[in-house]
Amino acid sequence: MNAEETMIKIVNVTKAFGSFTAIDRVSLDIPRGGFTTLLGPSGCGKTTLLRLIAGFYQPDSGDIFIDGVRVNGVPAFRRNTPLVFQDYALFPHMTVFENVAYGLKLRKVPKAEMAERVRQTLGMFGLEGLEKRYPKQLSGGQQQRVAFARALVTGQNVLLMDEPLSNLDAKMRVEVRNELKELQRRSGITAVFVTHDQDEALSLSDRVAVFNKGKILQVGTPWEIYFKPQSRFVADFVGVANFLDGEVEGVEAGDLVVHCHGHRIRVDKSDYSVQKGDKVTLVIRPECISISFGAEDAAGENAWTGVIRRSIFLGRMIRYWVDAGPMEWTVDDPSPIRHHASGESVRISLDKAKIHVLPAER
Amino acid sequence: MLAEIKKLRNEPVLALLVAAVLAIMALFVIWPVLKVVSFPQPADFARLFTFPRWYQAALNSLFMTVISTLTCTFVAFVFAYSITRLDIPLKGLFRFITLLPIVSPPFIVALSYILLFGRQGIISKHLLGITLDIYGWQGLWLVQTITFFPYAYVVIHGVLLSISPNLEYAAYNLGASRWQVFRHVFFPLCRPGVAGGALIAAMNVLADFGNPIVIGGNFTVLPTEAYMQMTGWFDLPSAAMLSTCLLVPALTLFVINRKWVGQRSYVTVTGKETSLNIFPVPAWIKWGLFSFCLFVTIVVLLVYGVLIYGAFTKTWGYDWSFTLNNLNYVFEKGREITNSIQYALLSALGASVLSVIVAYIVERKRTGVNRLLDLLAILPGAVPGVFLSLGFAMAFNEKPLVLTGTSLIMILALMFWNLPTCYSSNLAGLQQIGPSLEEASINLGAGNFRTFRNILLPLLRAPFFSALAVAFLRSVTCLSVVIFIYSASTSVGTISILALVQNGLWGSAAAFTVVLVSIAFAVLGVANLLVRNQGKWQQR
Repeated sequence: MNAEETMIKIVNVTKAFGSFTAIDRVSLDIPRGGFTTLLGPSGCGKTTLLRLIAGFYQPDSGDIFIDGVRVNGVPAFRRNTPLVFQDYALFPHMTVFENVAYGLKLRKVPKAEMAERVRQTLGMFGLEGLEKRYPKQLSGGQQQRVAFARALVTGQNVLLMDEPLSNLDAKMRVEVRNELKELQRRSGITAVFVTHDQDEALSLSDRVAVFNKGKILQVGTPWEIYFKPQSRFVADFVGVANFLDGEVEGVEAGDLVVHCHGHRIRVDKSDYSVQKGDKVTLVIRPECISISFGAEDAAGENAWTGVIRRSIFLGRMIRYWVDAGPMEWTVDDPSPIRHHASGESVRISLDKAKIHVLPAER
Repeated sequence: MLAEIKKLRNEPVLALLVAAVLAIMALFVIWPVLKVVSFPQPADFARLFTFPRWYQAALNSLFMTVISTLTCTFVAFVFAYSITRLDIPLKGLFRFITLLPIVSPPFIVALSYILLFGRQGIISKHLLGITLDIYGWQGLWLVQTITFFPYAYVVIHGVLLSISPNLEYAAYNLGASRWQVFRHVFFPLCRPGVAGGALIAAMNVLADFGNPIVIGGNFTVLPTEAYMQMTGWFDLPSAAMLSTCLLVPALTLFVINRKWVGQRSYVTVTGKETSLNIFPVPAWIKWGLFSFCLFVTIVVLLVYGVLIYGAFTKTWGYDWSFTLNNLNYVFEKGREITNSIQYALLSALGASVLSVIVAYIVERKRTGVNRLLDLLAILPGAVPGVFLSLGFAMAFNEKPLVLTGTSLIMILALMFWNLPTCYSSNLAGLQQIGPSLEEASINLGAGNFRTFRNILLPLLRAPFFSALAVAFLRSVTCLSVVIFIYSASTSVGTISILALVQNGLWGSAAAFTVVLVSIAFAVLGVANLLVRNQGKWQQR
């Protein structure tokens, strides 16, 4: 994988439908051979961008380049950007074989070669023996694999996917996720994946672009998106976070000291260039907070005692809402011994290296 | 809208297609209507009120429409309710009964009615030995009810089917009584369907020509009166005036149906369909409704039975012995039957092809004139057959396009009369096909035309062919649309049957009808066999 090379380049693209601006001056480089996810809530413009790449829409302004060629005005059927649809869009009047062969037929691939390539692709997806079935006669999972086979059989090196996993049940979704990642890695295809599911985005992608209201808020690796969000929206949309507003008091021994609602919180300064007097928002993930029960320990630096307000059992962990120090915290206990009741006393403490600092918005 | 029209410059093929469709529609839909409407002078319209006979015909038309609509809707609702909501036997037979009148010539019920209750009627004279005067509004009312309740049934049945029984269960669950559930939940949900069904029935009764001409007697209505003026007196201004007066209420009903009922249909189909049983109904209601349906069914069966009996009876009313002589006459009139089948096939094909193109443009393309195209395609549905016939006769009797007496005018008139039927079917079919299928095809490298041919057309098979079949049957059995435009060489079966009925030759009329309908179904059966084995994917 050559991460330096751009396969799809979006330059300052705007697309409006009537008075609604779906995509607002968006620029994005999609690297060759990478797995890029467009993530955002519904109506944020991520699907519109995918359809602009596929050529179903033409941009109002801005340019789209695929493999170095400007494709503005190139009709969708000449773009060679196979797309896996959310509802699969399998042709109900064609068999599995005919569905997968359709793209090859349009390219006038000779019959024998066509049969061989379809056979290979179906084999790759474990669909042997289903050639003569109609889509109606397949399970949801099989239909989905036919949709992938149909998109990949023509051998293009781009694959667009519009929430292709959203119609699968939860367990299946995780399985297919792993297969999909493996398939993309092996084939070296440039994948563009649209989803509103943050777990999918984080687990599949090399790069994630987070959308909101027609704009890209942040592009980065899943790690960056999760632990170093550049805005409150990204921090809130991806995962769960505690937000604490405060003001920088100064720097002590390489740590930032932030004053929040009468409490002093120390933050590892290394990554941040903020100055005394700056208004900031601290972002702390629930799993980055230590929680201990019994609360004999007194409060200390970055630590408070408090009480459990409520909690939910999530199987792999217990999530508590704890009233302590400056606010009510969301705290995860990842290795619970027992489920503590509301009203019990607890002590929570923050690791100064696991606190993320954002400039305050507003 | 203007912006969309300008954008068409980028798609010259589509722009040409839209222009061609608009031109065709203007010529064959708008032009004939304008011809008729603009022909009478204001003085001619004044005569509607000064000439008692016409004034009476107008009142009669309204009166007949109102009472027949009430009974049609009632019968249709009982049938629809019983078939969708009751656990009763003979449902298959009841469904069949609601189909029969739709595929029969328009005056078949009237003809049977004469055979049953007329002066020589098998029930009136033979069984009871009495003489009834059956010509008049009471007879017509009964005949119109039997003829047109199936049209209302189709609409009401569709709406009742879409009402999930879950909603009734939810109401029962909240503590509603049976009557409260019916009044507060079930009936409000049916109301759009009932109103829609009533309007369809009303439009048909209002425009009907066949039954009133056969059985109305001195009870004249606007379509028959217009016909008398044309054929009896060659009084074109009066015929045009009377037809125009018919058009006004017909258009009103049509607009109400589109605007009011169209917007009030609650679609209750959700993704989560359960197979909950229908909530049981008390036995007396159930068997009461069943008896009602059975009674109507027997009447309808009697209507068709007596027709077949009549076809093979020597002299109706005097000599009941079996004969094949009536068929001789039918074979003498071979050309009329050939014409019927030929015109029906060509017009149905024409309407189907044109309607698929229009439906595709309206549903899938933004041309800026979508609403206009949609309106033009359904407009002939609002125009009474007699009016359309007169319109074609007047519009194409002069330059630039003289078609009088040709087969082409017959085919064109029937084709545009059937356009709304085919269009609605194809449009609904297209709406069922998710746009992502076309996008998937385009995404894989197929252009617009290939996508239309490879994806849309095969998926549209079912609505396309069912509309084609209906259009074909309607054309074979159509009388009103051809009444002013046929010539000696282009006459069709229904015209001959009307002549036979008017001359009191019941046996020959019955035989002719039986043969015509049989041939129509045979053609349909063959066509069905030809296309069936290609639609495998739908059957599983």
